[in-house]
Amino acid sequence: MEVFIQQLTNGLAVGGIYALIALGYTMVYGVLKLINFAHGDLFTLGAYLGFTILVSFGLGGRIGVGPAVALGVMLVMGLSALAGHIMERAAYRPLRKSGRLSAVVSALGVSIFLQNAIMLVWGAKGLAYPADLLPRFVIPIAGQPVPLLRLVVFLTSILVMVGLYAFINRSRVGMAIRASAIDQGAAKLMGIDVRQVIALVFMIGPALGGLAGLMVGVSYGQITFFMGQLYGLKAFTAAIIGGIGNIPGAMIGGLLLGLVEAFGAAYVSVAWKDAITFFVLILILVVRPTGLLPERVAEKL
Amino acid sequence: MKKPGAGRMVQGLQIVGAVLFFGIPLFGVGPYWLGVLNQVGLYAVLALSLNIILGHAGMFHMGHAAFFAVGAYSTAILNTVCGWSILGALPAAGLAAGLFALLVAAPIIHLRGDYLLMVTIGIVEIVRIALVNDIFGLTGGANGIVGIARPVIFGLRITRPHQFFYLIWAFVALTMLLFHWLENSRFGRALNFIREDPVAAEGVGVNSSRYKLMAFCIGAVWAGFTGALYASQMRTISPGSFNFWESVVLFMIVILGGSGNQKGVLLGAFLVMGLPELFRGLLDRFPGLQDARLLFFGAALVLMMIFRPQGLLPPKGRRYRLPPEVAR
Amino acid sequence: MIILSLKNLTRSFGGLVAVAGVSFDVERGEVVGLIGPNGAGKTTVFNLITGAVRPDDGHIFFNGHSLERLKPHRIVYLGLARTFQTIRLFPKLSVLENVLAGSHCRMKSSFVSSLLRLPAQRREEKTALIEALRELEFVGLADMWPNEAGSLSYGDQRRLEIARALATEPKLIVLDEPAGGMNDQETFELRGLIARIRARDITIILIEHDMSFVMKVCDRLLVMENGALIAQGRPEEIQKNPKVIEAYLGVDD
Repeated sequence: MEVFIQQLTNGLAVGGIYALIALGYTMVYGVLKLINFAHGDLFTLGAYLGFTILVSFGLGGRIGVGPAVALGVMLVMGLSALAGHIMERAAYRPLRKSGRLSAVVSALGVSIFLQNAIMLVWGAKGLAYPADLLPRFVIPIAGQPVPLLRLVVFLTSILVMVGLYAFINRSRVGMAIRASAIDQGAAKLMGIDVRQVIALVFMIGPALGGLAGLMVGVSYGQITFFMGQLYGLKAFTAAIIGGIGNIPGAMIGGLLLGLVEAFGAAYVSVAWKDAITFFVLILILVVRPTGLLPERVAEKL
Repeated sequence: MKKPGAGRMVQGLQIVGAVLFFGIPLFGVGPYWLGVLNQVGLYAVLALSLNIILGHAGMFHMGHAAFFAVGAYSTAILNTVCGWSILGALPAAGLAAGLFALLVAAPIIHLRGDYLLMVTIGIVEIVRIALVNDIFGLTGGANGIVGIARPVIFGLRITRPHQFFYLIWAFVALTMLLFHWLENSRFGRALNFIREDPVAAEGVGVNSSRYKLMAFCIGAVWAGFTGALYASQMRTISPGSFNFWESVVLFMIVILGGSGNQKGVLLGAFLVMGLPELFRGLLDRFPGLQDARLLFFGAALVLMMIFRPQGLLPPKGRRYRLPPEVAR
Repeated sequence: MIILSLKNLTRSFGGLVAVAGVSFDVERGEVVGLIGPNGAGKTTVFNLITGAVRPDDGHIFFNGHSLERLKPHRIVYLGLARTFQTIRLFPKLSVLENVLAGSHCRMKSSFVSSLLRLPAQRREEKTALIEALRELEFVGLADMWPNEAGSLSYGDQRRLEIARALATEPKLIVLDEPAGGMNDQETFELRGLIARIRARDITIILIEHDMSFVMKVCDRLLVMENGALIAQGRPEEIQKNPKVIEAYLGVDD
């Protein structure tokens, strides 16, 4: 029971982070049919920006922990969005008319560039958020002590995702995004500025990815310049498991993956943890070639 | 229109270039640069075999390192445990990689582009993790396998870089010849039909799943052969050499050079594997920039794709010489 | 002799029944026209015959084989070739290679003989080239052989699709709107082409909206409406059939 509760909450927190990153992949894919391989590195960027703002500047000591975190979150999300926007303009927009494979390689190029830029700026050794950055509360769940931070991470992810879902489905801008995902040509005919939609998607996704990076830094401490690779791979796996292009799918895929990993590590084998992830991916795709939630056009995004 | 002589001249220059290239070890090129060229050669074969899958059949396969690994480890195990010679193990390594491909590709071959890409990445990772975890107690875990023998050809033990240079580049040349034939046959055409329009290909009688699977297997067999050469050249192999990143590099070589074009792929191998080495020498004079090597590389990739989205040498399409009785 | 027989063929997409219990036979050597208003289910019938779509129910027999569970390439191999309503050539490949796509299923060279370019493979390749050019000659495109297929005019692309289908050496060929997008001159030439295909002892089923074309070319017409077969007979009979007139013109309630 002890292991179960710990792994359940752990899995949900990690899954929430995967889901947040997955949203960026899935939105970009939905609109552009592009796997943005650099998305994982924007997540890394978020973690490092968070470190600089919260730790290096010691923002918490100046304006208090609560306001510092709020300001930090906003800054990280804003700067990540900016980075995403620059990336779209520089590396993807010029390739819009070229084949999909060249866009994939361009994305890989951006990924290499970002990883090395982060390494050059912050160093190759990796950094550690101090453990006392936030007060470490522990709350009992079914008699087990569970770090409050885990629940906060999980709930934040859920909240952000629900908010995004509502935004996509209820607002006019969201409708434009959905329309562009279904048929860009038709969307253009309806007077939607698809270029702006794409630009917007490339800001929302990285903002969420950056937030996920910050949360990983705060809750796990250790960050490295290459951590985006594995997180990105897992998150994209989550997006595919859920049915890529599908926002609820990304949430379900992320949480499922987090839980599979946590329980797999606890009950099967820690050493095979990552292999289990990909094994589940293959299994699901063999049975359902387009992921768990169908890629129904009307429900895309 | 080009002058009719121009094509012949280009061909002549290529032959001269190839001859000069095979003379490189005679010009006193040091072991370091021969090592780089050997590395380029191995990656060229890997990329040429990936080109069958990715370039000709159009399947987004980002897991080629898995087949490479199976070949290298099969060779290492057959050599160190069973005492097979390297040349004896080489066909077995190809066969093992091919069978492995058959096994893992059969259930996923129908997946659409990006789904396939993700799954193939997953396969590479699973293979790597399996190797790290010392699967079957044969792979030596994270440390890998040491003490792999050198290849012996006609009594000559291949040990020095220039000997490996000839071995590896002869294999590159052989691969190019055989694949050129293969690509210009009904097999190669069938792959292209599937790439261009799988529905139409099926509709005119091409068994698309069979050919896709065959493309996977032949690519894997060749990656397995290359793994055997690699294992005997390095004498030590470990899981780190067969990760997701190696697959990405191969993918980039093919797309950057020109998918579906052998010469393009060869050029891609030189650029992706060789250019960073040249840069290393250049940047040594500016110590601050040494670490920025890969930064430039990433930016260069983006720029190349923007300015040459079809790759440096896009495929030209097959040339047919009509038999004289119908020539017009 | 009956070469193709459909028995109670049914297929629905989502809630929509596209083909509802269609049965008909085709005699060897016939030219049969499948007509009907848009959305009547004609192309779905073709897709069912050629294996692109699986039936929910019913049977298809072709030349002694049951087709409903076979993959499209198997059906082509058995001698049933097709063209597509929306032209589906390989636009970036040459005209010649498009025809060679059809020859593929009649060639036998194995993977190994291709890899090693064995003499038998070279001989077969040469024969295939000659045959492919002959088919191009047959449809009148021989001079175009090295061009990119996508660069051809619409009418030429339709004819190339026919050449590609003929290269599979079919016993029966189904043509989905062969005259679609053709001008009068091309349509006229197409009639001659169809007569010559028939002279090769190839049975033809075609979907076409150009009524004067259909009336001149076909021996027999099948009329579909709302997924069902509502009439069949000789063209002059069909022209007078009240059900058909109603289907085409609609009636006021």
